[in-house]
Amino acid sequence: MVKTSDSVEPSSVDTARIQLPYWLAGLLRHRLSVIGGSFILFVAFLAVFAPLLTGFEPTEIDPPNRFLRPSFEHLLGTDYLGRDQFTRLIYGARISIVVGIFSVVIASVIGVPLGLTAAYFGGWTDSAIMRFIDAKLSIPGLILAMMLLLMLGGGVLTVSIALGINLSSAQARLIRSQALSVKEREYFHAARAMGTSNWRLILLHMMPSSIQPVIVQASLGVGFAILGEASLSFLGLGVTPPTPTWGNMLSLAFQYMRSAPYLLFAPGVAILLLVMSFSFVGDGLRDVLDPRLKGKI
Amino acid sequence: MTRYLLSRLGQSVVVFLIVSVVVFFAVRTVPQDPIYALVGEDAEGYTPAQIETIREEFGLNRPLPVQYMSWVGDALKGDWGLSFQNKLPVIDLIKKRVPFTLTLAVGAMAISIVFGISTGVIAALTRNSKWDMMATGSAMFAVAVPEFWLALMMILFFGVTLGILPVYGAVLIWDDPIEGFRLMIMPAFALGIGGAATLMRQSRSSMLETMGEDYIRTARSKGVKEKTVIIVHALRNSLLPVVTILGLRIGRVLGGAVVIETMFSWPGLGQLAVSSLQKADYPVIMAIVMFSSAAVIIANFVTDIAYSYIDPRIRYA
Repeated sequence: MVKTSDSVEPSSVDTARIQLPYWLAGLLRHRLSVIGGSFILFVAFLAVFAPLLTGFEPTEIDPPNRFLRPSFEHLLGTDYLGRDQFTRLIYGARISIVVGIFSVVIASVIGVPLGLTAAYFGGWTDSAIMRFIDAKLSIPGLILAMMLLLMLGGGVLTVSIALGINLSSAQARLIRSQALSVKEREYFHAARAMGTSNWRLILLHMMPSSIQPVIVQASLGVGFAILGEASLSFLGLGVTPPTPTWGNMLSLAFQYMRSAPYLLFAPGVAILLLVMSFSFVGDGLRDVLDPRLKGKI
Repeated sequence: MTRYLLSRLGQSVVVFLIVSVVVFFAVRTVPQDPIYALVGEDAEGYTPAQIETIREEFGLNRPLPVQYMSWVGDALKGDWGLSFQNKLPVIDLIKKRVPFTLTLAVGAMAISIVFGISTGVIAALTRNSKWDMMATGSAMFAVAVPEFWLALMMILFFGVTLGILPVYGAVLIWDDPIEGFRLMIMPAFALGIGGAATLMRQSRSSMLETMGEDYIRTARSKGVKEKTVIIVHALRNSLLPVVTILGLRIGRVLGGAVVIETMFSWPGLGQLAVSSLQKADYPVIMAIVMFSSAAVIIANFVTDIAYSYIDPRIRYA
């Protein structure tokens, strides 16, 4: 499934000829990224093919078979309604992955224009945007997300929006600081002197040269978003039951901890491994795209 | 220095005002009508006229900007209004809760500092050894582990299986030091472990950087004892960036406290936040958000000032 560093060596002529994009080739040489990436692909596979991998429905209740311990038929046992935990786990993976990715996309869509505008126009515009971001950052993330969810209602999209808004300030700050240095470069002055419009300057000259840290931050942000979604669902504020999510599975497991402690493990381990995998890939991407960022992001 | 201080102070005040405006209006767009928090679930028992009277009594019928101005005026005088849920003064509710959240936050920070800095420094000093690998590995784990799941595992192991630690309830540490401590171990650990990982990474990398500086080589070649080099020369300087991280942690801890307090029935602000958000209890939500935002702003301010005091290069930049 994943090529190891061996494929780069000229020992096998065919693979050596395949020209991988440089960032992908770099990632494949980063051992932890390969491990993380493989796990993400594995979870994505389970999530996409969930209906084919299990004979149960995630919301199918079967009261006579409640609290069954893990067995061959129910790999991870059943919960208080007799629902199959393995089925719920792989369906729950869908929510985690989708929310994780949507959130960072939303964060970038909000953060990048803000950061670029602040950097390009400077002065009052910059101060206003940055103070606004400071204000947002001063409200603890989870409390902000909870408020947003109460305004917007629960659901995959609204959770992603709430978490995306949370993550957007990091994106805005990062791209602003990059864009500020681009603004001082000669090619930028030259483009401006030629009378290029503001829009063109921002989109064609400023953005491409300052986007890399945003990409790195986005890949690291997926893990944060997955953790955030799990916390919100755990509090009963995220995606509404009976849709299974790893967070609300743990919330139920907490209530029935004494009668069915085995329900506590799988969703937690799943969150842990997936978040770790995304951070491995993010670290790898950072080292490949811009090693100077090490220790900063 | 005075100029820097004043401009930094001005910024903080502006930020605080923005928070108050945004949160005030945002809270009021919550679709749930707070009138239900006021009259209870069975609103049918009230005639529309009665409900209107209650609305007037709490000033909910006035235009929003007017409500905001009167809220600010009262808040500055120390009157934060009455909770919609139980008609108690908000300020009293907050006062009762703050010590719990504060002790928990301090406990969590203490755990972050003790575990984070010691493992970070040891990892840096024994770079690439098995100690370094272990410390770096556990930090990766600690950053990714969901706080509430860690708490669940601890409750299961120490609370249910071994039965050596109480799993819920709270006593303030100065009321009953032993019981208060026992009750606080698990929540503080769950809340502090993520910070320990961040601090570990930061102190490791900054310690490595400092150990490579010229003045460390100079100190060594002067014949200063290695212990003195590490503690007096390297540690003090490498802890500077670590201080910044600590200031930034406050917000994280207050946010994390929401989940952890709810799990351990710890009667702090986080738990209050969950219950009042569910009931659209505006005055309480406003007070909690303003309090935690003030804590974060003050922490950042103090960190910045402390940092610029320690490192004069920042003041003149």
